[in-house]
Amino acid sequence: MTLLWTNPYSWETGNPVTADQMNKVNDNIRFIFAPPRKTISIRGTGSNQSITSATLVALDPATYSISLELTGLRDVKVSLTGALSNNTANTLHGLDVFVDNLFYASSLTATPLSNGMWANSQDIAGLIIAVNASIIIPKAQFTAGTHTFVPYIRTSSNTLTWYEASAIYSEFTVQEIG
Amino acid sequence: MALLWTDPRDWVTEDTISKDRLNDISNDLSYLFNPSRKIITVKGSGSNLTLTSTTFVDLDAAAFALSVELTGKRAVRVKWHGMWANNTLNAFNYIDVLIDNSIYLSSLTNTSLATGVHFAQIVTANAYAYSDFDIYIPAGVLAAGTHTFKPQAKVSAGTMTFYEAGVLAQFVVGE
Repeated sequence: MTLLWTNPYSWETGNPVTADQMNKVNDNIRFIFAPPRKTISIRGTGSNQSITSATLVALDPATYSISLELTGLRDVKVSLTGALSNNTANTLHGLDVFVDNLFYASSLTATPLSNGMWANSQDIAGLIIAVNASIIIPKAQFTAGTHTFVPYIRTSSNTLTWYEASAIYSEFTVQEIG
Repeated sequence: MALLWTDPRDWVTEDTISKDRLNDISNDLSYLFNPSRKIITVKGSGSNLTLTSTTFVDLDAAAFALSVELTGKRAVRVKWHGMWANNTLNAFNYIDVLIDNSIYLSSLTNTSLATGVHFAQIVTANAYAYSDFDIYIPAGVLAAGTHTFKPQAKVSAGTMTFYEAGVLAQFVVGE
């Protein structure tokens, strides 16, 4: 896909109003109407994921990996919605998003913050915790082109379950925001 | 900074298509492409804060207070993402946003709602939890011009810790 956005024309007196110029106006309107966005939704029909890693690892990349073409001119919002639990109390969960296999959303470097972009304690063993994590990555991080986004997850110990079955909804969305 | 938005022209038959009128369209497209927004992100490099006030007080204004110019014509999105805890079982942590040192996000008056714009009860002392909200101020509440936004917090009891070390905190305001 070729992105439709082009920087709006700076008109000068005497410039002809051409079809090409007016169609660029139309293309820009279409771009703003439907900017780059991809959403992966699992409506309870996937397989629950078990994670035992204390360092961040990819969360079901076969399902959640997103490639999205960006203008490189706008901020990018990443959102992860779902549910998780750990079979052991007093553990700590962490989530992050790894971009282009180069940098994490939390730190904007190749080394994530120790707790990622979202963390939560498991107060009661097995209690299911709702996740609704979203942050905005500044446009300066991106060049124009296609970028990949993969959610990453960790648990401080024991076994964490990320729910994709059991009639639980999960979603990973990446979008340019205006 | 002069905001670029101009109300679109109602064209009539035989209107002159001038460079100024076409540039108004270009400028409006540019504004819609990148509207006013400020983002404050603390990427784990700050110091954890403790707070015991039972009335709303600034939450690290040095880091999170921001100013943003608004058109006064669109809804304003206020988004918050940060991690907190409290050392006292069953205590509540509360958060709100003070706008222009005059009105609160929760009530849009000079008196905040008792529970602020977001709150959580502590079911395990010192357990980490994320505090997230993403809400809109209706168009017309804030006039055109520059406005200031400061997150504020309070507790019902105990000591809240707000984490800026090792975790991500982010405050965003924009149209």
